[in-house]
Amino acid sequence: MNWAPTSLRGRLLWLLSIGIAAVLLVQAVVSYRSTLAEADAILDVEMRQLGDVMQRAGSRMPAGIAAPEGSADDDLDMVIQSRDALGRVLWTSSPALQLPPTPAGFATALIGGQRYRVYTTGRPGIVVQVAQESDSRAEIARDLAFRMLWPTLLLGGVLLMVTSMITALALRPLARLEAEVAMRQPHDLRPVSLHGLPNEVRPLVQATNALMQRMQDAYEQQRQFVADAAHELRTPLTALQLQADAIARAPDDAARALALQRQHQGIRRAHRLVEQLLALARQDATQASDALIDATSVVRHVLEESGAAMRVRGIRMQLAIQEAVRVTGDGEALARLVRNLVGNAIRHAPGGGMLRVALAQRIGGSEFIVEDNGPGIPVEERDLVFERFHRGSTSEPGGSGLGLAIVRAAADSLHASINLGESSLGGLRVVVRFPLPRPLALPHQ
Amino acid sequence: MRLLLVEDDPMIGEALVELLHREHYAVDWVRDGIAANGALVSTPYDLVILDLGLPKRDGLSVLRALRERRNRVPVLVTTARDALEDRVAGLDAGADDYVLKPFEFDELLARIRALIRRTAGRAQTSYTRGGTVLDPVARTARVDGKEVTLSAREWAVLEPLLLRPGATLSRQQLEEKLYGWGESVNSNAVEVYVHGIRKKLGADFIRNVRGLGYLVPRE
Repeated sequence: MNWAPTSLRGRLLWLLSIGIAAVLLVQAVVSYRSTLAEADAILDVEMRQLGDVMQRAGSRMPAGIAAPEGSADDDLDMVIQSRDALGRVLWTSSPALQLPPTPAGFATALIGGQRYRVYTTGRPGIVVQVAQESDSRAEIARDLAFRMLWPTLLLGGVLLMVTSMITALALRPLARLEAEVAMRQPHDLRPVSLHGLPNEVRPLVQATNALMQRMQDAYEQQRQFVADAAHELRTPLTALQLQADAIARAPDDAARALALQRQHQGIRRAHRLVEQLLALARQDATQASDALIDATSVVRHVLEESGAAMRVRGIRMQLAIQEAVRVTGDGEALARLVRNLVGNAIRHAPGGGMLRVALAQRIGGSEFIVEDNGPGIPVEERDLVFERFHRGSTSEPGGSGLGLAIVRAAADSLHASINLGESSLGGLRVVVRFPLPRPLALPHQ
Repeated sequence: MRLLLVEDDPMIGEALVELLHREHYAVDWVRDGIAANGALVSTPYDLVILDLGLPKRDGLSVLRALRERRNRVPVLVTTARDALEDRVAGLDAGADDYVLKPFEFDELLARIRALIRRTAGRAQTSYTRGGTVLDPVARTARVDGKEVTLSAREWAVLEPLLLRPGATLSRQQLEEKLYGWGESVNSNAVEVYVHGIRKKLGADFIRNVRGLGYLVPRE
């Protein structure tokens, strides 16, 4: 059973109530006990006064006279008896009861199965005893003590009410915060106002706001990407539509054959765009990984994949791949990076052109370099080419405009840097620098 | 009819040039904003098909510059941007019509014809004189109830004349409507097609204005 409420207000009320009840209980016990003791003392004082009065009255007190006013109270039930030096009863308030001899001062005596408190005093020739039933004394004391408890109970109730009100008042900023968040639309990721919030809650709300800002950014990026993708898909679709119209309207077989061939190109382009969109979406969804990957085998594998495309275009390749180069990150991301850089180089190199691919361990990391003898990228465009859907002046026609954006995203996830430059072959030189694999990295890196 | 096609995508441009040629339009194709501006400054066109997302200079800026020069050539904008503000911006910059990618060629063609008709101030598409009824949209010709077939090139010569009956067009003007850039111009092609039209529709259907050119009389 879980007694602790999960609401802060409930928890506060619960704990405060326990605290108040505990304090009041201690107070009640202490007060009960001291009241009991006080009542006892008062009754003793009464007995002693009565005893002293009786002793002074002595034998002159005629037998059978009514008990003095102090003992008139039935509740007090005091028994007064005086005897002479020989032990003969001079006077008694209740003849039925014979008090046994008791030592001077206060004592307890058992008479007829009842406990009595007896006060004994005297002067030469006279002994005066005042006795009272212990039970009725206790009853009186308890009555008194209980009467003293009522204000404490009342106080407890009032304290609880006040506590509950103060708690509600103190937690009002939280209630306002709750209402503000509860009324939000699902896509409303604007930061929650910190105005009037207590210091204890601020860090939590600030952290939540920061999270919402990151979600908003990611959401915005995703929205922009979908809008861009929809826009970019329209171009190849328009081409396919018009190419289909051209097939339908072809006047003769030769024209139809040409139109069909063009439509095949159009379909290949649309296919490539969809592939690249998927690659980018997958790259965006890639979680950071600290796995150790064998870059050498990833590069070799991608180069094998690209072999056919290279042979078709009659492109030669110089390789300088060092063995057992390792980097930290996601293997798929590295493959995407290599595949796009090599693919770009193959597409941009002229037929019968030349490619140079190198992978090497360096001080403080490793380097992957791809060079071609294509048109290169003008210096002023080098920052722009990594933008999604950017097409530069030297882009191949029908390109997706995504290749380098995928490379950049993959490099980011691998903590790698990219540098574009001119190759001694005449075209583009892309250098990707990877940091040392994490288990080998120095602490300050 | 001579059209300027401004389109940066090679596949779309290639397909449109071929399809429009087959519909007897003379088409000049440019692939960027600067080339489009140059072509518009130097050549009179009957219509411009303008893609808005262009390299070097964007389509909207080309369009604004065109209207600032008081050039009233009809402009049909094609774009892949479908947001309302994009469409409004295009029309505000001076576009006459708007077609969203992807589109079918038939739709583009219908919009081209409608724009050319509207620019000539004619909502009506057919031309009737004597026993001859011509419909350049449906490409049908009847002489005394009998159907006559005209070739695409003959229509290309006839159409500009039918748009402005009574107005004289020079041989050179008609040649421009027949050929786009890079097409070899046959020096007496217009005469050949006018001859063919006269044989089919009657010797006086197209009249010679000596030293000036040709005209089709009002209905």
